[in-house]
Amino acid sequence: MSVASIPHSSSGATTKPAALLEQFIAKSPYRAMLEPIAADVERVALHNNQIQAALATLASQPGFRPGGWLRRPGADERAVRAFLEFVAFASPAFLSSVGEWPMGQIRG
Amino acid sequence: MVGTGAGGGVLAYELAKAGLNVVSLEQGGRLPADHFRTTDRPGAATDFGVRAGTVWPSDPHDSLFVHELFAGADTGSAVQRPGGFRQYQIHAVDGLQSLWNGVSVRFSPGDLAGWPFGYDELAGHYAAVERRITVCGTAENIPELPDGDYIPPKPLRPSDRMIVDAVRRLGEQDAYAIPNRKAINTRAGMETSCISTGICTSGCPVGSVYKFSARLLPEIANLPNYELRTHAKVVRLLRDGDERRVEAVEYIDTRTGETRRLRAGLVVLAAGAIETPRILFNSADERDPAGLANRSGQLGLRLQDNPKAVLSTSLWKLWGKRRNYDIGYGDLLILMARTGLPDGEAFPFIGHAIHGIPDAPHYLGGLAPFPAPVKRELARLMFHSYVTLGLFCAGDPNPANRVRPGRQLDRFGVPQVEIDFTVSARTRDMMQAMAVWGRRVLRKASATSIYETSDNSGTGIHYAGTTPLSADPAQGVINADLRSHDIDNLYICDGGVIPTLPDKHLTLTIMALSHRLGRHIAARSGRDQLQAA
Repeated sequence: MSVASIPHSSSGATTKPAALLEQFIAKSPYRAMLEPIAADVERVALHNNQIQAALATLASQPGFRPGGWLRRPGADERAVRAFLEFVAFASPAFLSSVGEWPMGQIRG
Repeated sequence: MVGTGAGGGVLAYELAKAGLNVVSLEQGGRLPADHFRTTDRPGAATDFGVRAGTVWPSDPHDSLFVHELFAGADTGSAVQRPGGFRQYQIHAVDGLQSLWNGVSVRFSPGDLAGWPFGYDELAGHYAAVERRITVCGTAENIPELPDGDYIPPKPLRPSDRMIVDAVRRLGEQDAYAIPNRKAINTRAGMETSCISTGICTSGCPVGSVYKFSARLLPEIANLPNYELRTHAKVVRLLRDGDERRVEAVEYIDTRTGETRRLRAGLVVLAAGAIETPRILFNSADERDPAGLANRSGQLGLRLQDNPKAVLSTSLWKLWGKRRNYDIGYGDLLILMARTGLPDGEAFPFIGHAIHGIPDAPHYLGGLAPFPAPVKRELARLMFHSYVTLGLFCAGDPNPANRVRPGRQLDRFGVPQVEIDFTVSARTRDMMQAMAVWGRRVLRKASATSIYETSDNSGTGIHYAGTTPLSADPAQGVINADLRSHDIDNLYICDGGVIPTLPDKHLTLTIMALSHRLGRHIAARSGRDQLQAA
């Protein structure tokens, strides 16, 4: 199922993948690093085959909401969490904290 | 000329400069000159390092193999089977050199045992290519790794010095850790000067790593006797009444789907050790039903790739260190050593110590047990401490590992080849022995947890052996001049011609062979032998 084909219900029965991703970010322990770059995170997520499919699957589950980070998640939820963690550690906020932002091209 | 990679690029340059009429046929298109500077930048600079095919969880050692430029199953030369040999191809001008790491080492005299000519024959061509493509390195006087013509490398970093010291403390006479030899322009102040991205295998933003389109193509692109024809997928070679001559090359224009023919006085296949046999198998006709240039029955046999062991760790002595050094091109060291198999037989291997900027955080798998706040602090503490060793040994010239004709068609309706490939117990022992050696080095350099993988399923991307050189027409596909034993105006110049793949990277040798072939063809042309043949 493509992202575009996921129906959105104002009753909250199902959620658009992009909106679902926002919920994941809001629940993430890395939200401070992710929220400033949320638009880029969404774009990259929906470009990635696995994460796009995972979000579509989760969004099609009526009433699904990202759980707390102590709950044991399923495979799709684990993939989305791992993706967000990856992006967080590749974010300007994290790379700044280790002295590697801005990257630019020259690292000499 | 079919192909514009390591072999085809150098040869096109040599022949065009010699005044011959040359057409390069390339299956793919030409990437914009700024592709790796704007569209697809190295590391995490574009999209946090996340690609369409990136998956979670993943093996960090596989991250290099997720790239949009690699051909898909519907366009590749070979049928891809789950768990089978993994062929990596790039259908674009420069071929695999679009993402080339640039390692440029010479084979030793011993590596050429069984070839129809010796090292002395190739030495001058190695030197000419090194000067033409610009190789950085240092003279070390190691008999197994002949010195070349080098410009200075980038300075070693703290992690490099720790590995050099660890290798020295092994106390092994045959173990070396020396500056890497790479086709990189380390000279300052030039348009193609290395800008220190810390990684070359994601594509070089400035063309500092040699590739045909960045260095040699601009010098011949406007010559009246040279033409680069892109989106030209070669299907087969055609003969006329003379069974020892190719008359034309048949190709598909991949943009229009039209089939076209290009008449040629001489054809050179430089399409790689899997695509070249595919073209020859698909050129089978009534006179040669087993494939063109295959009367010996050797075509496609002994497919080889370098078995490898890869080990990654964090060196605790580098914890908490900020970077105050030039990251350079990532892998600044060559490692060489010998180690033994359980039966006592010793074998050589070569490899690299890699230290880059882990802005794309493939290290996270190693931090999985820790909760987020701890993970964040550990990641900061360890950020500049990661080192990876990639170690390679000689290929396995097993005739059962082979490329053979297949029935499955690619997207363009052209038969793909099948690959039969198994990894022998001896090869597994060799990979294990290299890993043991690598762990000893890393431990002496203050390694913490070591993440280790080994593989011989095509991820070395050093494909060889399928159209071998041999003076004996019964044992090889081409002779000492790289000319087919069966077809007088057909030459081959890619990894397939190397009969037995040594531990060392093959690319510089392919380019030296191309340089040598260029001189041979130019001389032959000069003598008007083309018309007489």
